[in-house]
Amino acid sequence: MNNDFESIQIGAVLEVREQVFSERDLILGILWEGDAQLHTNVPGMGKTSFGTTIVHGNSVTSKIIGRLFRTHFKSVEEIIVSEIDVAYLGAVHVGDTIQGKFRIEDLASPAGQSKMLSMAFEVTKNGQELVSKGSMKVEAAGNQ
Amino acid sequence: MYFEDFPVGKSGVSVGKTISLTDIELYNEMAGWPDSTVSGIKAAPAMLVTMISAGLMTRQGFYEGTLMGILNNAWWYKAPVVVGDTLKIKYRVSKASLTKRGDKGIIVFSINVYNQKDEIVAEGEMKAMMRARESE
Repeated sequence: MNNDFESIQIGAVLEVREQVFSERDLILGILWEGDAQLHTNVPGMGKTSFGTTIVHGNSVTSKIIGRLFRTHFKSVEEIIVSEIDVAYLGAVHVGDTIQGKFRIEDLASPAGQSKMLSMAFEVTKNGQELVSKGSMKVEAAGNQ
Repeated sequence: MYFEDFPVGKSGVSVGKTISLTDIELYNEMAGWPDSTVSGIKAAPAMLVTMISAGLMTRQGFYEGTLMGILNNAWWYKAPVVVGDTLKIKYRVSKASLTKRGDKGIIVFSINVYNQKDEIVAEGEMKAMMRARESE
């Protein structure tokens, strides 16, 4: 299936491939969210079921959506996100490899070249384990 | 603070956080989001608004050491946030339920994000798992 933005249709699945998470991605979450003794306290995390440091869930969502936009929305002039709903189901550690799949659930073209997209997404790590799933509404306006 | 310290209806207001150009440029560089402008002013990506709001919750200090995880994050973005805007949040506990074992509970925080004009720019629901006193 051709998943260039111009030809996206309902039912299309936009794949976001293989991002390895690094220590830099731990910092992404800390910069704006802080920590609350949950992510980067190595001795503290060692006593939890996580076993070691974990990446903030919102950092995972940020990076997977960022990669979606860079991969599949390259020709779009403006992207406006109106809703994001995400359930966090598993932890992501430094060194894990993340993939995402975004399925187009609804699509409308209210005016000109803009499109209103409703997407459902799943994020897995290391090729198998589901770490989050959710939905998102996006308006993509004006092709470059 | 523990699960028991968050009855339904408990509410509060955060300090303010002004959005700088560096916030936006650094986030876009690290997370890979495209640049966006509103009337020529650099706009904050939706997920950055979410993360800053989560940070303003963290700064309340009430779940330091007792937060076990954020289970769900749902956000509705109502108005653009641009460089120079100052955000604050008002939160309210809308649901609270103890697990069967009684050692932890699930709390839903309903959050409104305001700019310096007291306009709501985003609404959110964060579902958090927190330790109960029973766990100590």
